[in-house]
Amino acid sequence: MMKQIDFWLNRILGVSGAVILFVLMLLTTVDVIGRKLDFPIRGGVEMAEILLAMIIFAGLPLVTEARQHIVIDTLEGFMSRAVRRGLDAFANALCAFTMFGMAWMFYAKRVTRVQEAGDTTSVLKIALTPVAYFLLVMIVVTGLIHVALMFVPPADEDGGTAI
Amino acid sequence: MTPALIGFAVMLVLAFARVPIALAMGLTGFGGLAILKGINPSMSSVAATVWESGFQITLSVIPLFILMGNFVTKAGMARELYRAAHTFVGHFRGGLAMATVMACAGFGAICGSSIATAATMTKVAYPSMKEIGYSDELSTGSIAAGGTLGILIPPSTIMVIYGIMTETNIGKLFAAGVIPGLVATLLLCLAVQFICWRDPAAGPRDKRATWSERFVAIRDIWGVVVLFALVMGGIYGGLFTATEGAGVGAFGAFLFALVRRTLTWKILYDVLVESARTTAMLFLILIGALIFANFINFTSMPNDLKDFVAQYQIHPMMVMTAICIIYVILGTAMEELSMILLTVPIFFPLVVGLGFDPVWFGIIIVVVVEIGLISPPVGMNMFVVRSLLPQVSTATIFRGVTPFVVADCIRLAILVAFPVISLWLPNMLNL
Repeated sequence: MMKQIDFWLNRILGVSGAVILFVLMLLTTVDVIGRKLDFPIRGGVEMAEILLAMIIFAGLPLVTEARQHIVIDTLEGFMSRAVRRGLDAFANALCAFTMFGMAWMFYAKRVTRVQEAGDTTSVLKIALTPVAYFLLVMIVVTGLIHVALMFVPPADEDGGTAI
Repeated sequence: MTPALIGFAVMLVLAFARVPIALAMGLTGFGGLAILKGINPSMSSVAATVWESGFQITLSVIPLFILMGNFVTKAGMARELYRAAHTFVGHFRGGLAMATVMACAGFGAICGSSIATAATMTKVAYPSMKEIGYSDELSTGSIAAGGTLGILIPPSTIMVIYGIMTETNIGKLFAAGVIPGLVATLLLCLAVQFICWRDPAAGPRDKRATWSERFVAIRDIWGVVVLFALVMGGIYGGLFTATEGAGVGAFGAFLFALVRRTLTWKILYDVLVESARTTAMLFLILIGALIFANFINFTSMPNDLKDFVAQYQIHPMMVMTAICIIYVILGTAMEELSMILLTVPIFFPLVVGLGFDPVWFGIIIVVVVEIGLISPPVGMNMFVVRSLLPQVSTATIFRGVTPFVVADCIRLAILVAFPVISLWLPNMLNL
């Protein structure tokens, strides 16, 4: 069950994240060249902004699931395995709580407002409500992954190539 | 002052309890602001930070530069850089280690990540140094130290993050990294010479390359030159912004990887997903740091620190020296990205209030991060080299980097004492 969820999560979000990032790259390039040739893409900037927001929040469950968040592990050498596991479960519980809290605040203070006002982008009039809901769902999914991680012992993590 | 100190204490306790640093900052920042200002404004502030962090076109510079770095890593451009440097300095004592440092500098000009630079260079340079009998200390030390040039020579992820956090012009920061990057390359090469002077067996001479070999090798690095010229030339020539330059650079790197037939569908997918994941990780940190900074700025801490310095009439240079020492010490035991995210919100207002240039301070931050990346016991670059070379012991790498850490500390002192080294180029370009 867990394995299957894991597989599909990676598939769906991984493919969407990859496609969106690729499109963002193409869009930025074509927009720059187009502008020099006096053929700017109409609403290029706002499309790029929506794509960026979607990459960030589609990536969030993936980083969380891969345990790639930056964690201070300076004290780990002094901890026994059991302490480390217990602490990890506690941290994940707190993270889940934070994510659900963030989702609630985001819903109460932003999603509802976007929806009521019927906010759109300024040039292309793209409705922002679906985007807001997408972000909301991704934050909730991230929270659920933290809940699941409470029951999975941590392996050695990999910090990625951020710096 | 007290609420801010309590906030920091709570946040640190959470962070040391394995809560990801991003969430530790976000949670503390929210709680602190809720207590000081009320729960409703605090909730609004969190919601606004989450929503707005995605909707800022300038921030797409982050995924695009990360993508560019990941593409050039796959495109195999590091190999040609190393070969070119090898033909010019290989016949000197320690020449291959100097070639490694120079190739790292060249790679840093198209890749904004130290870890990616060190990882790429390990695969390229280590086998050839091993082959002609270099000591493991010198080869791993030069790779780990040279790799840190990835974030000093533009483009640079750390500069982008610093620029966004402090609202400093990213184009200026990039330009400011160029000359310090050359100084760093020179000092690291001097460190190699020092090591070989102490122990000539550590870095034996290779045979001298002919001029025709050198010309061929130089010709082969055109890809790197074109990509660098395209991105940086475009940014400084006023053709496009840093964000657009990142997009063009990523696309150019993608084309190079494609033409060199290093891309399969699987590799392309992996590069894109890895970049998306790194982006999400960095943005969550950014969101957490912004929420935390909202709280800190609402307390009296930034002003209290300034008052403290003013009251005791501490010389600005003393403050700066103290900050550098704190960073070097913190860098030995802390992960570097979290270190700057935690400290920049406190130090930045203080430093700028004392009349220092924010661009120059950005370069200093990059240099202390570089030192942190190679100073034992916790240094990501050493861990990367070690993970790729399981046969080399951690103790060997620790011994290997030590002379380079010393060289980096000397560089830090030089850059602090002479801000003109960092600021001359951005001022001349009139950014």
